[in-house]
Amino acid sequence: MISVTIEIGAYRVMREEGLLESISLGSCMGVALYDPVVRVGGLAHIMLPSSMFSARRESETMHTKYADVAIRTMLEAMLALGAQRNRIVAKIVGGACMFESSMFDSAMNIGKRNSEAVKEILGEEKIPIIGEDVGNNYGRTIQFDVATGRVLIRSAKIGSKNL
Amino acid sequence: MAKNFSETELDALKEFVNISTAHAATALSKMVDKTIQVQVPQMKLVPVTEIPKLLGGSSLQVVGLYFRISGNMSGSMLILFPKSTAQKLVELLLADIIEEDAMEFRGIEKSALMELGNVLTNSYLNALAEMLNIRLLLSVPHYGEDELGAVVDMLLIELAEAADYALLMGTTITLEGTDLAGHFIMFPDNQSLDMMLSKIGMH
Repeated sequence: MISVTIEIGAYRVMREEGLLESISLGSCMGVALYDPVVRVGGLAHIMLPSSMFSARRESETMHTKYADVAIRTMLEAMLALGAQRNRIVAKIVGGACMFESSMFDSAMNIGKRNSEAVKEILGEEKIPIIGEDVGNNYGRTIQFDVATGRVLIRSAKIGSKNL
Repeated sequence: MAKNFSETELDALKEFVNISTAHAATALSKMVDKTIQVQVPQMKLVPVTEIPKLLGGSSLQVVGLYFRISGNMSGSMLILFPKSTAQKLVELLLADIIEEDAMEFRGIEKSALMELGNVLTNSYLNALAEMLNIRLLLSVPHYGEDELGAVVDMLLIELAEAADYALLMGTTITLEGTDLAGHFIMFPDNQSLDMMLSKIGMH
């Protein structure tokens, strides 16, 4: 089976089978989108909430580090592989605050801003969130099985669980 | 940061980092009563997303101490210790009052490591400020422990907001008689880097 690790700020889509993996998400977000009928899945490793506030949007090379660009680009790529928009569901993971003393400092709690942005964009795209493990203070590694739609979360601090 | 640095510029920055780290190492040496070696600094312009790999890999268990730098320069400073090194440092600092194999460090161990981070970072930045004849302020330490990838990603996010590349200014310190290592990493923002270079007549 093919197993692909998503680079930070990148995304990948797959059809029918394969594992998509995102390693050690802290404040970053892993967004898994899935059409269970044709088994088309995509996983994005998102760093920042929105490209709207980027002062250097024009010169940038990696727009998919932003939640809005990543989710919408990945959606298009999934539709191109045969997914249907009205069947797509989402599972979202990450957006932690890894430094204890910064939990209540919104400038430093980028994880919270990331998870809020992801939810807002998925809402705008009318994609239901059917599973989530966000926030808190632990890192997460996720494995998204495109054959089943299952997302396995592994964490050094709290162990493993399925979404 | 789209620009490239010349060899001469990198060498000059390396020298600053070297001296600053030596000050921090002296402070650490006094705290734990061991000889500390300072490795030749790394000074590389790297893609932001490559940083976890360069620091030892995303899955490595680490303790991270994160500081914001302000004053005449702004940026971040990160001290990273593999979990085993942090454990050893705590043992040296607290003698024999710690619990073996604790999943997470308890309050007193965390405080000890944060205080250690404070002392190291202050020594480092004081040396730097003195050499550059500038004023630098340091935030309180922010403590995090987990896999390296998760601990550093907030810093990567911060860097990625400004540029796709960052100048990794890091040094490894090792304790005498053991292979315990720690990383000191400073990320000045672009303006601060320019200021540092102009202070030493490179611009």
